[in-house]
Amino acid sequence: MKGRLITFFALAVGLLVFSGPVVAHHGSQGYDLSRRITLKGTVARFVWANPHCQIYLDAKNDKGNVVNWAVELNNPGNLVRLGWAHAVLKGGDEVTLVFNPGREGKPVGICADVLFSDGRKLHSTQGCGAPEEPEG
Amino acid sequence: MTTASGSFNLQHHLIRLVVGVVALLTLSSVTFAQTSQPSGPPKAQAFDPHDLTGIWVRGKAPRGNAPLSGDRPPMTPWGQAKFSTVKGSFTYSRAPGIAPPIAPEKEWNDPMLQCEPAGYPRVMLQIFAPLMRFLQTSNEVVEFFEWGHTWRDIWTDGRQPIDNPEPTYYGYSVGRWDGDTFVVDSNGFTDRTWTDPLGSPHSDQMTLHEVFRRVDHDHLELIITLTDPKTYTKPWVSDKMLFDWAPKSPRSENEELREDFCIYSDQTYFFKNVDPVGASDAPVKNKDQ
Repeated sequence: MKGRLITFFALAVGLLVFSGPVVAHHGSQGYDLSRRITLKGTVARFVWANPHCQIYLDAKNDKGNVVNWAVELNNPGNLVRLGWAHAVLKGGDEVTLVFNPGREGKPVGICADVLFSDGRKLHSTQGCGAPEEPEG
Repeated sequence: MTTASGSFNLQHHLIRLVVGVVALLTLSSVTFAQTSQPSGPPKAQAFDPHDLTGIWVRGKAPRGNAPLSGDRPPMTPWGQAKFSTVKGSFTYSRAPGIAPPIAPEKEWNDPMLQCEPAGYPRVMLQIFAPLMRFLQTSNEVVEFFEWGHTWRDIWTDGRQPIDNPEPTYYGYSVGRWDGDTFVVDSNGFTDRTWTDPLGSPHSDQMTLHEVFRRVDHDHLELIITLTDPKTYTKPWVSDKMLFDWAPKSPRSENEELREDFCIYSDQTYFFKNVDPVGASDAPVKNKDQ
C-alpha cells in the first residue's frame, strides 16, 4: 500500500510538472538539474543581453581559491516580467546564488535564485522546467 | 518495528500529503493564471472591431515554441528531404512525432542561432517573441514585432497581391476587412527560414492566409493557413492563436516594445563563456568555418 501511494504521488507530481506543451530549450543538456548548490561571492559582471542574461560570480572554493562562475538567466524581457531590471546588479555586489550547476564540474549554472544582503530575492526561471513560467 | 496503527498513520499521512501537494500545485496554477492576465481595463470596455491598434501579448494557448498546429500535413519528397537536415533543440509534447529527436547541442543548425531573422510566421511561434503591436494608417496596417525590433507592412489600399515578389523574411502582404475580420494574404517569402522552432520546412512558394478577429476589447484571435504545394500535400491550418491586449509592454523597463535584437557578438560570447557545451563545439562559433 505504501509503495503504491508513493508511486501515485510521484506520478501525480510528475504529470503536473511535465504537462507543458513544450519540452527542452537550449542548454539543458549540460546542467545537473537534480542538484542545487549555494555560493556566496562577489559579482564580477552582470550581462544584460540576449540570448540570455548572465551573472559572473567570484566565489571561493573549499581550498580558498577564487572560482569565476557563469550563471545563465532568462532573456532580458522575461527577466523584466519576473521583476528584474538592467541595473539590479553590478560588479562588486555581494550576493548569494542558489542554482543548478553544470555537469562534469564546470563552473556554470542555471535556474538561479539571487539573495541580497538586505533580504531581497530575485528568481530566474531559465532551466527550471516550470511550464507556466517564462523561459527564453 | 511497524505496528498496524503505525502503518495506518503512515498511509493516512501519505494520503494527506498527496492531496495537499496536488491541491497546492493546482491552486498555485490557478493563482498564476489569474495574476498573469494583463492589467487592462474591464472586459466590458467598448472597442472598435476594426481597430487593432495596440500591444498584443500572446496568451497561453499556444504559449510558444509551437508549430502552427500539431496536425501538420504530410510532406512532399522535397519537403521531407529538407526536413531531414534539421538538427533542432525543441520537441512538442502535444504531437511528439512532429519534431525530430533533439540533436546534440553541438549539431544544432537552427538559423536563428546564427542571429538570422525569425521571419514570418515563425516570429509568432517563438517563446521569446511573445509581443506584437499594430499601428493603422490610411493605407496600411503595420505589424511590429518585439523580436528583431522589426515589422511587416500589410497594405490595405486596395492593391492586389503581386506575382513573384522579391523574396523577403516577412513576405509581401495585402489586407482587407471582411465583416469584423481582418484578412491578410501574403507571399514572397524566402525559403531560408524555418516555419517554426521545430524546423518544419517551407519553400519560396509558401503563401499565407490569415484571419485576425478582435473578439472584444482585450482579446484578439488569429488563424493562419499555410499553403505550400512544394513542401506539403495540403494546406496547414493553425490552431487558434490568442492574444491579450496590454496598455504597455510587460517585458520592457521603458513600457514599450523592447529593442530585442539577436546580437551576434553577444550570442557568441554566451556560447563561449556560459553554455556548458563550451566554446570548442558550440554551433555559433563555427559560423565562419
